[in-house]
Amino acid sequence: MTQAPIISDAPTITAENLSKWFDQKVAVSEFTYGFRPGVTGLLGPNGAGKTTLLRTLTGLLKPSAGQALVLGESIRRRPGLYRHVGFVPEHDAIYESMTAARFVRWSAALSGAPRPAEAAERALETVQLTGDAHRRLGGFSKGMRRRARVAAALAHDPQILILDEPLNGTDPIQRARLMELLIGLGREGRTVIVSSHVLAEVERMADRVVAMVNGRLAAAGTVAAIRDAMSDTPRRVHIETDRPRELARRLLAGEWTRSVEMGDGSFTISTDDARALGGAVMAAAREAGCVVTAVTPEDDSLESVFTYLVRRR
Amino acid sequence: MKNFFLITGSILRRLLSRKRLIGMLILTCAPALLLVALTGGADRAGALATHDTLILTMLIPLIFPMAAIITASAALGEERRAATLPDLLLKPVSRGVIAAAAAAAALAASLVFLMGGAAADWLALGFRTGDFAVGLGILPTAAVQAVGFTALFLPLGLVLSRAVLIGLAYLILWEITLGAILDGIRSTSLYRIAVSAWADWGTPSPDDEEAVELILGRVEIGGWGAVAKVAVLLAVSVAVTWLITARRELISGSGEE
Repeated sequence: MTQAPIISDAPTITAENLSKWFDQKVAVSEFTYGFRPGVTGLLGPNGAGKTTLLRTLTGLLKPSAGQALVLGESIRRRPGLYRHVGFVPEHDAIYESMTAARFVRWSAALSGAPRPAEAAERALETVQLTGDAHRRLGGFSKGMRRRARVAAALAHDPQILILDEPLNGTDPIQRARLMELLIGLGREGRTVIVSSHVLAEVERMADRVVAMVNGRLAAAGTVAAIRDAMSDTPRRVHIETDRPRELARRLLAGEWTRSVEMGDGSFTISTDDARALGGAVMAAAREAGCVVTAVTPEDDSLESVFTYLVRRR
Repeated sequence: MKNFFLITGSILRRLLSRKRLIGMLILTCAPALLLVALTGGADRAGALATHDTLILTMLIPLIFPMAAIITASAALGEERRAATLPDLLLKPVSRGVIAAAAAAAALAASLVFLMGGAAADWLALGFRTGDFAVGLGILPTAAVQAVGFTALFLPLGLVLSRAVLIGLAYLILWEITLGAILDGIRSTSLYRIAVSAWADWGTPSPDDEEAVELILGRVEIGGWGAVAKVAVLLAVSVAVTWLITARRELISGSGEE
């Protein structure tokens, strides 16, 4: 990709009190968030409203209330803005009779790429489909279709890339490569929004996470920041040391300690205040003369963040 | 214009897929084959009479409209059902260009199928009568029908999931049954607009002139009048399709979540 990095960190795609309902069913409710350059993971269980949100942000769906703005304007009113947007839908429907090369070239040309043939060639190379470029898409596996779709979304060099479950159906090697590609695009300064319900993928790719539960914005920020905000739920920290019993006994005296589980050469402490514990571990280790070899927060993963958010809603 | 041709080309390629091309040409050429089969030993007058009966009972009221309805409703309807419509809608292209390009593709494909059938009919009649001037009227008539039914079913195919079934019901109930009973609705009948063009440009046999009058009722014979009517209908159709693509939600919201 050749576009120069975007210096500004201002949101490029914004939802303002965005709601979308279908008859009696509310799919997205009063969602407000500004997606900035970098990779943002849109996380949520099935039925959380991720696809509806992405379709509303791209202008495919009309907001029932509030607004979706792309580069400060409503994309439904100004289709010209699609020049700056690449979208990979969740489903793998595709023009089956077209070859991959033709599809990506066609898409690039319609999206306003100056030299569509070259752009398509580059994009197919990026997703490693050059060898299959002249095969019909109808004969492609699900993973290959996803990659062809990613190539079509990238070919016109968009500033904003919205991908709805882009890694579905890809094999582990392609998955890793696509993740690297998206991370790279985020680093170039593009706004990359990736929806997924696979926590590990989002955790690896995304600078920020937007968690949706029941159509609402449940949390937004870095994984660690969201986790820190969960002050009313205990955190579990695994500590490895040469004298676990002695160190655990000292830490149990802290008022922020809830419980301790002893292991072999280690223990896991459940605490209400991870910061206070962090400071206390080293002090207690010095006093007890222990050697601490590892302090690992067990539940900083998105899995635990998400379980917490779903429970809270 | 580049975008117009890109979209027209992609829709047209799909509409003219080999399977559809063969199926549609078999459908539209069937009356010509039937004419050849039925008029084996007939004289010129007999061949003409059989030809006109086939035209007025099969080709114009049913076969050409069905071919055009299937084609026109598939132009954007198939994109919607196959979930590839976002590939068109999420492009920096005016919805008006998308609507016009879809209409152009649907019309071009309908013309291929209907003109194919009309050409087969003309050749079959010429072969049986030895006169290749006599059956030429079906060619512009087929074009009028292609425009008229494409105009009507391009937007309907986009918004209705069973546009072809609805089209068949429309032909049988509105155009054929109600049109035969209620004189007042004949001026809105695409079937009668086509018959008025054929009666003007074609050469109905004297026996069939009465049948033509019975079908048309108050509708006047006139080829150019028919052209004007379907041209206006096509312009309205493009405008309606434009509005539908710009205003309506053509994608479900949460189906795949």
